[in-house]
Amino acid sequence: MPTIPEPSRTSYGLALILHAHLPYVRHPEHEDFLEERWLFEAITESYLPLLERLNRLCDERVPFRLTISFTPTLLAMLSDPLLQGRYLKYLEGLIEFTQREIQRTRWQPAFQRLALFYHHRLTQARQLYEESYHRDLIRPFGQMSRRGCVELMASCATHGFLPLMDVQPVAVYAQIRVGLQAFERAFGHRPSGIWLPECGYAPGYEALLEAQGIRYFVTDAHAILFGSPRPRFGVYAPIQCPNGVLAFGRDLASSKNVWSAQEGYPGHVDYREFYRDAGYELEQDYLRSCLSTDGMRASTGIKYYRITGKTEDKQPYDPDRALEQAAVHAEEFLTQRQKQGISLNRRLARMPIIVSPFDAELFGHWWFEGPDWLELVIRKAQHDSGLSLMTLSDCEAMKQPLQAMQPCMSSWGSGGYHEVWLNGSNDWIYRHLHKMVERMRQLADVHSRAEGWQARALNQMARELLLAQSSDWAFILKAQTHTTYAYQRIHQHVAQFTRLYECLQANRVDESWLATIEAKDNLFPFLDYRIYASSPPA
Amino acid sequence: MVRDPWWIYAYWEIRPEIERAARLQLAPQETIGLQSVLRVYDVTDLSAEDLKNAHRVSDIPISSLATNWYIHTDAPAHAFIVEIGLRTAQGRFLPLARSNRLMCPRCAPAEIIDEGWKISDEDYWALIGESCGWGTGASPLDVQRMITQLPSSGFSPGMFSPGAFGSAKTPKAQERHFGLWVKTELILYGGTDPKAKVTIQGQPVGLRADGTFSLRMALPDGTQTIPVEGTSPDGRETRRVVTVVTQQTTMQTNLDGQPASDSSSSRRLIDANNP
Repeated sequence: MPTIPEPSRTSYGLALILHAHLPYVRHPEHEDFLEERWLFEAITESYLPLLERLNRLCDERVPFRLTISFTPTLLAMLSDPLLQGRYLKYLEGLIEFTQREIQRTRWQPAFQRLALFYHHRLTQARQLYEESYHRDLIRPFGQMSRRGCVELMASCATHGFLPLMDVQPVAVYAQIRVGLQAFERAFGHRPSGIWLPECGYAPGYEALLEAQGIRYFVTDAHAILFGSPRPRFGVYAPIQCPNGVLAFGRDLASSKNVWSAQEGYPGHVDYREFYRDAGYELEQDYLRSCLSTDGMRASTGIKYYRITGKTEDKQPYDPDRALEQAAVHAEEFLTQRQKQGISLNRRLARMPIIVSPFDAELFGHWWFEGPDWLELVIRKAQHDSGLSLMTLSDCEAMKQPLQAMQPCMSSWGSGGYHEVWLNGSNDWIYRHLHKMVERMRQLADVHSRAEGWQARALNQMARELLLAQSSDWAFILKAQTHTTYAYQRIHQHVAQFTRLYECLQANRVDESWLATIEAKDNLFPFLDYRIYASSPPA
Repeated sequence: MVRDPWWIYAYWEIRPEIERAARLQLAPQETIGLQSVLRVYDVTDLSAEDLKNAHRVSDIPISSLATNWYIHTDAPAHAFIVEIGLRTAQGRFLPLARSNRLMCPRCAPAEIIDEGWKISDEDYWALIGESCGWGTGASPLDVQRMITQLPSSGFSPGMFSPGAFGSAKTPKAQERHFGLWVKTELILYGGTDPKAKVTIQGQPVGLRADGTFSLRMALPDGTQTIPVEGTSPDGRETRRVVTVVTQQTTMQTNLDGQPASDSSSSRRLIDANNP
């Protein structure tokens, strides 16, 4: 294990956090399902590149500490044999497509070079996934954690946005409880910290966290900055909630470098243009294997252009030039942190900790060069003797005196509160979700010792409820990007839940139907519906 | 439900018999001008049962068909309870349902300063400026700016979906939103003895089991000379076919029947460099 930095020798700490999440998308009822590609694209473009780079850093003994959280829905998909098999099939299709692309672009050297680049990348992805990791991406992350480079953090069951369910504390409790159980099953140990979905926090959650052995969580900056009493160290030291659980506030300055739509690094003209994809540009018949099952165009991840500028006239992407730019941005990021760290150290008269959380899928999928940038940041960081890369547990272990205070309700969504998940496009969801929790709780109390099909039906109700609670559906409805699917998912989970409820009321069930939905929404095999009871099992 | 420090959201479903029962309490003259209202109680520091002592009570007239409402409470760090009910023209209020208690978050620095962790105003605002990446200190006026400029998590699973690409996916002319783009590809195909060896422009090409081959290529403007060479299985005979293809692309724009000068953005769409 690495040593805990000594405040006297280190002038500032940087805690980089990656939060990995995708909603549960698994459709065994169809041969091929477009939305499953969310997972496949994230594996190819984010998870595998991140794993490969972080593993390389570990192997080379580059000293670093990084915190990564996983949601249980993502963990369940990563370990699902059906999706693992489908991912490889998807990859085969893309590899075959890049072979055709190499031929097709033979009179356009700038594009043929990219076709070769993608062909190589995808072939390598297949080799990593199949031969190096044996289709299991959870284990290598676990290994990295045992090697002391990465600390793994839990998250809530289905990435439910807690502040909009907390009129029913049992709903919040269940999201957290199932999240911790899933983590323990995936990684074999209990987590010490939790990533609250979308940093959604309201006073009081710390009690639920403490009761389940969680020692810290992450909030957005204003949770701490407007907390009471006033924070002596701003967001640059964790604070203690009244019950002793720690809260870390996000540093907005470092976030802005990466997240900001205007000034953020990912918008640089040399980086790969996300919005131009071969799947939308090439002739339809030729695309065949890349189309969705209903013959619609879909994204392939084969993207030929760089951002170029505010123009439709995009120039071909140049991976070498982009990599050089990533190095410049890594340097710039560290220089800014150094300036910030030294100035804060002077002002606070103690070692400040800069907490920088990001969505893991930002790196690679959205910002193609992101994994390279991260690797370069870590490599370059070792040359700054005043900087210490830290995990959140490291910050806790420093045992510096911490201020006690009450953080404020907040989230890291646009506007800083709940508007993204509660507005005219999605507010209709909540009456259904709240009713489901009420019914779940009622039945959990009535059936305190259910067996046989009744226990199965009750557990399946809990699964449908949790799946309906994913914050993703509300987000997608708001973002207007793929609303039909989000609407169908909510509708389907509410309908299945309601039918199960009615079956239990009538004391009669169609067991083959029950088996069908169990096989379909099959995550959390350990789930016990009694977590919703008035006195849940310990 | 709390939306943010300034807004709360209420939804409801009133069973008809509850509303009927309430109406039965009304004298006939009271049914004239009957209005559905949301009554908002400011119950900061009060318990939920203490509505009578509410700091402030305000009514929002609503349509009787409404099933939900966003309420502009405009009071961060205050607590609210909302009732839905019927109000008579005479001012009598018949509640039909009551909400849970809501606590809106504070959206300003706390007044309380911890004796053990003293911080001056100047230091506090300097820290806020630092946290926001503004380089300099902030002032109370900047609080709103900070919240609105939060670098919010801009990523969502929706971004994996094709819908996320919208119209930005296909090249288009910008000025009048009318675009036309044309590209050409060349398919070269042929056949020979399945055991023969074939090269196209010097590069070997794979043969299918029946000896046929095909190749599809993006065709840029200009002249391409494409030699295809086949060598018999015994290596004794070669045959060479040379195809020469010339492509020239032009574009003209007419606007309202008149030839218009090609806008640079649309002219560039026909770009031999595009795959």
